[in-house]
Order: sequence, then structure tokens, then C-alpha cells
Amino acid sequence: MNFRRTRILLMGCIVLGSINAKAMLVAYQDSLGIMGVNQSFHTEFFLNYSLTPHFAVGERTIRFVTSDGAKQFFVPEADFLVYRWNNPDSQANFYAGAGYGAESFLNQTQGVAMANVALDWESRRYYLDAELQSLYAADTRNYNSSKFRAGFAPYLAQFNELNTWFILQFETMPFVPEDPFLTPMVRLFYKNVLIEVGSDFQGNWMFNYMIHI
Amino acid sequence: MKNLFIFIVGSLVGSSSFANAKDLKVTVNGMVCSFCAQGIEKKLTSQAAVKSVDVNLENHLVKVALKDGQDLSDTTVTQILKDAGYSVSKIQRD
Repeated sequence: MNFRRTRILLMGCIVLGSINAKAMLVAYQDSLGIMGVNQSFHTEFFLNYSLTPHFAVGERTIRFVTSDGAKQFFVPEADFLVYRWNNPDSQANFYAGAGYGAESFLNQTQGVAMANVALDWESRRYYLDAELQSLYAADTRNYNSSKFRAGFAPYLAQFNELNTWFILQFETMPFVPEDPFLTPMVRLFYKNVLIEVGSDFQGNWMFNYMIHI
Repeated sequence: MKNLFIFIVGSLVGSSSFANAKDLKVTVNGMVCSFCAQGIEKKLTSQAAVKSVDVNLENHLVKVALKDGQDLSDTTVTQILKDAGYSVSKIQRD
């Protein structure tokens, strides 16, 4: 792959948006998902299309500010809803995803493989989420990150009303100097638009968004 | 007498047509998040037979109003909800 073109493509994707509210997303059939996470040490933009309720394809662009400098990853991926538990008052999901793309760092590009798993459970009042993401670069460097969330809704919103959630996120990124991160946040969603705003106890702001079309 | 016959037949045809304007009440499992359930409304309203859709998270109910003379089979409704990522536990017809 031509380095300049790869770098321009990576930068373009990061400028467009910049990890997602869920590490991977398989939504309803024929839906388009647009997601972004913006933290000072980590940005991610994810675009995917759900071909079936259990399978989606997409592209993920990630930027980490590590102790060695900023590293960028451009990874086309496939995501699977492995299993969903639909109960009357709750829903739980197990997702898995994998992809292969490129890492850009210090004017060099190399191949990178990615694997994701996520498990979540939610009722109308409570929400739990655990996500693991691994990036395996060709130079044998690994970038493993994890995210755990617990949240509650202060009121039960009806369909097509503004929903509000208070969430506490614990995130580990051993390759980022300030690791780990504990971030309280507010999640708001209305119809098909979701945003999350928070700040960790080290003063790093976070803004996430997700749109389903 | 002839007029009375026409009136009775007309009334029967009219009431038959009215009876075709059905509403479905679908009880759905897993419907706890309105952001995630947007697909239900989108998928159902895209059906030609559907007049309107009302999602009630509290009662786990999706009310589907059908256009006059139109219908959706239980199989179709179940498949639409499945494509949206949910499972149907009951379908009632008014």
C-alpha cells in the first residue's frame, strides 16, 4: 500500500470524526451506524452497515497518543452479534469482531490485525457493559485495551422522549501514559441520535456520538 | 323494499370494510432501549399496509394501525421484528 495515500486516508478519517459508544455495533438489518469517540489521548471513528441483524461490515479509524507518539490505525472489520438474550424487561448481547488493516507511525506503515469482544446487559433502568479490544501490529507490538461501564437512568423515558443516563466508565490503555481512566459521563439520546459527554479525574474530556440511519 | 335492500347491502359492505381496518398489538421481548428500538418503527412504517406505529416501552407493546383493507400476517410481523433484532411473544388483533 502506498504510504502517502494511506497516511492521507488515515488523517482524513480522523478529521471526519474521531472509539464508539459500543466497541462494535450490529444494529437492525440495512441500517448504517456512524460512531465516534473523542478523548485527548484517543480518538476513534467507526462507520458500519448491518447486512443482517447478526452481521455488519465497517471501517474503524483509531488514533492513540502513546508514550512513543501518536499512532493511527485504519481497520476494515466484520462484526457479529454472536448471541442476544431478549427478555421481557431486559436485553443482553454478546458481540465479536475482527479486522485487518494498517498502522501508521513515524512515516512508516505496517499491517495490523484487530479483534474485539463485547458483552452488555441493559434494562430500562440499569446498564452494564464490558469491552475488550486488541490490535496486533506486524512488528509484534500489541495494543490491548478494555472498557467497563455501569449506568443508570434517573427517569424512565418513553419512546421518542429524551433519554438520560449517568454512566461510570473504567478504561485501561496500558500503552497510554496516563492509564487507567475513570470517567463519569452523561449519555443523552433522542430518536436515532446518541451523545455522551464526560471527563475523567485527570481532566481529560470525552465526547462520544452514535447515529443510526 | 328495493331501497331497504340496497340500504342493508350497503351497510353490510360498509361495516365489512371498516372491520378490515385492524390494529395489531405486538408484545415484544428485549425492547428496553428507545435508541435501539428505532429500527422497529422504521421497519414497520416502511410496510405499505401500515398506517402508523406506536411503541410503548413500559408495556413492551408495539401497536400497529393498518390501512383500510390491508393486513399483515403474523409471520410477516414476526419476521420484521426479528430483522429489527427482537423477538415476539404475542400478537393480538383488534
